[in-house]
Amino acid sequence: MKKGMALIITLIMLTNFLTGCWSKRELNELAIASAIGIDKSGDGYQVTVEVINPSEISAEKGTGQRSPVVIFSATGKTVFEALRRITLESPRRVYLSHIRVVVLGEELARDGIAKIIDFLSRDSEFRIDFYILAAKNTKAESVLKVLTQLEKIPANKIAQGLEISEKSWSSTHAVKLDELTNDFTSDGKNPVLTGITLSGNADTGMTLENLKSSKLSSIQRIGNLAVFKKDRLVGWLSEEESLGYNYVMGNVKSTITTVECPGGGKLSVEVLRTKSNIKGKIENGKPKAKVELSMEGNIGESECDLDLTKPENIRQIEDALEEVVKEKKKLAIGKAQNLGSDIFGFGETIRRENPKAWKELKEKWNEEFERLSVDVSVDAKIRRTGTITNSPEQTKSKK
Amino acid sequence: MTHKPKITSSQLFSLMVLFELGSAIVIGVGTKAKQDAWLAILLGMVGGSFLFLSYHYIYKNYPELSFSILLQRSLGKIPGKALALLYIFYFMYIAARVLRDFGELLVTTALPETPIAAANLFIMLVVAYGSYLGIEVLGRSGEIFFVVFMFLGFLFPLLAFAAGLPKGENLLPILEQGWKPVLTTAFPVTLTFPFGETVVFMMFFSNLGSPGKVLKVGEAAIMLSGLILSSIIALNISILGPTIIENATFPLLKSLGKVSIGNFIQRLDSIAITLLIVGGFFKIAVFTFAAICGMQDILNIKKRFIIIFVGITVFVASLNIASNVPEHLEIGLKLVPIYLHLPFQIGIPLILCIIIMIRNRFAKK
Repeated sequence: MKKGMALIITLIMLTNFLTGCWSKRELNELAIASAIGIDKSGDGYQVTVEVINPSEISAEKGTGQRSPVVIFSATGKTVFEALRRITLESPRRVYLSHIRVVVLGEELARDGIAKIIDFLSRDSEFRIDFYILAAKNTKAESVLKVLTQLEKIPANKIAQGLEISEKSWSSTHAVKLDELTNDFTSDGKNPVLTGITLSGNADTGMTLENLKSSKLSSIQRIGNLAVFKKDRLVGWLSEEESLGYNYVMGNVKSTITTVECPGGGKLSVEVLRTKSNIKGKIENGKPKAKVELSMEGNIGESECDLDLTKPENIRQIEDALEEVVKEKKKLAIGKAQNLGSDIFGFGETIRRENPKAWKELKEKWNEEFERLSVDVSVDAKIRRTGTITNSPEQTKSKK
Repeated sequence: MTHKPKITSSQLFSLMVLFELGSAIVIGVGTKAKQDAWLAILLGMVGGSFLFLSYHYIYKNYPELSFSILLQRSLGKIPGKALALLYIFYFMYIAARVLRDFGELLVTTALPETPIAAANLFIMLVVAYGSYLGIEVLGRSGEIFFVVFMFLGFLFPLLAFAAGLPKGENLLPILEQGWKPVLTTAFPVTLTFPFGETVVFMMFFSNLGSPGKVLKVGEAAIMLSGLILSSIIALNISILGPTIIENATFPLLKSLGKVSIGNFIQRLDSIAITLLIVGGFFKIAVFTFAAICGMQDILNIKKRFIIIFVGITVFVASLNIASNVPEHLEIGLKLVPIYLHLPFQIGIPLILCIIIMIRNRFAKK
């Protein structure tokens, strides 16, 4: 009898544990954020959150009458404060684990982003798998509120656009929080972020009307690289220079590079593989850097008079390609030296290879970098010419 | 005593490895040495394996006795009992510290709105139940969880490499600041945590079914866990870089969070939490159970009262040993290694070795 009672009491007590989690938050109480934009506002920050509207993105129930995302925005002395103040506008608590992108306004980026990095790394709701971008000539808020086609959620459009342009055009560089943190804390390397611009008007772009035409009147455009010095934005690279940067870093996965043919005309090479090797050393007490790049590609389009069936002509194109790529890399290095920011991590390379010398160089690295002599070499190989050899135009004129 | 509970050598081995990896694998040790943390751990491991020789020497001379009785036998009744009591408090304090680590990390990363008392209470209830069932059950569950732990632990490097995350250059240059930071991290920090903590197993050596194997099993466990710890921390650093790792309260969680294979295999933070819960449980359980066994040896009280007393004390202590995380970590990294680990893991065992040696020599004459 006594045992039975004990059993019943235990069972009743155990039911207490079956009620679920302590601080449970049901899905319908959450506002799942897909992107955050941070702008400067007076002494503090304006934080914009793009929240997914779940009923609009579900395939069956979407009415097409309402926007797939909702934008909330609030200001505060710190990012965290502003973010929590959003509860005044939003009926649900903003949930940050599924953030795809964080966009930083240009004004803020010029002022320094170190304080924002703190919040992004401290809060446990953030995972570190989101991309960070810098808005160029515009506010982060405007970038996030423009609605998009193909991808309903603007944040997804930006993130995927960044990934795809990194893979197949290679003028961009998708930066995540850990890379940004490492670069801006390092003495021998400075960060870059990919920029994002807005073409068209943000206010017309935020309406569903905008989505009804086949050519969107306003659209986010992934841009070129922003150069930081420590945590401050100091300048922008051009597209050419951004490509050059990625060539130096060995980030180029695939891109199209156009060369002038030796006999006149243009020819485009589809670059398919690159491998870069950065070396740093001390010569006669002076730091020196060496960038060796090997690349492979195919001929993708030709307006040349050259006979592409002849191996020696292919060799000529390889030489021309090497020159063009070398030029791009020199452009990027020159621009970075003008801005006084070692975005390539030459200092970091020297630190790794010669920690003793680095100890002395560290203090004055920025000045050293500005007059660093960098040896650039490229080894290009063209493997294939596509499904035809010579261009039809050329074959015709030969007859 | 009617019969002495026995465990097999593979059970002792599993328990020791889980115990060593327990919290260390998730918290990350030796990160003060920056990118050379892996080296500091290996040095700590070598030091730890020498320490273990001294533990084994003491055990070898009294193979039938648990540590608390052994102390009385070798030092005399009163001083032995006093020292045993000190060791019991030491075990309880460390159990409370590990419990606090466990609770803090769980609350910080996974359960932000849950009071830490709730997290600690539940693990303590399981530990108390485990202690009630005894060393045989702990050993058997250790054997089972060893497989689970190793499987999950092995997933991490596998997935990290599959996702192409590790960057070798993060580990360079080796010995940037020379040997000094590495040595000062290895001694005393990584030597005493986790390797020197094997001193607690002196309580259980006499439970091993095949007594001749203590040295082999212990050294093998120390080596294996040292190598695993060292490679995991090296992997963490190569993924995230030394700056982030040094600053992270929970490095393994951060690097696992980065794994994403084809946007499909991702969000693997749960692996780190599982490792923490399994490893944390065994570490707390071993310390708590050692304290319980010690008390049982020197005080004549029923086991279940001791379990309740030790369980409640460890639980309450875990909540009160520090008022916030920075204080907890400061005590753990600066004071505990010097004022607690050094005497209890190194000082007293060495003195004991010397006493036994001298006594043996006299006995021969």
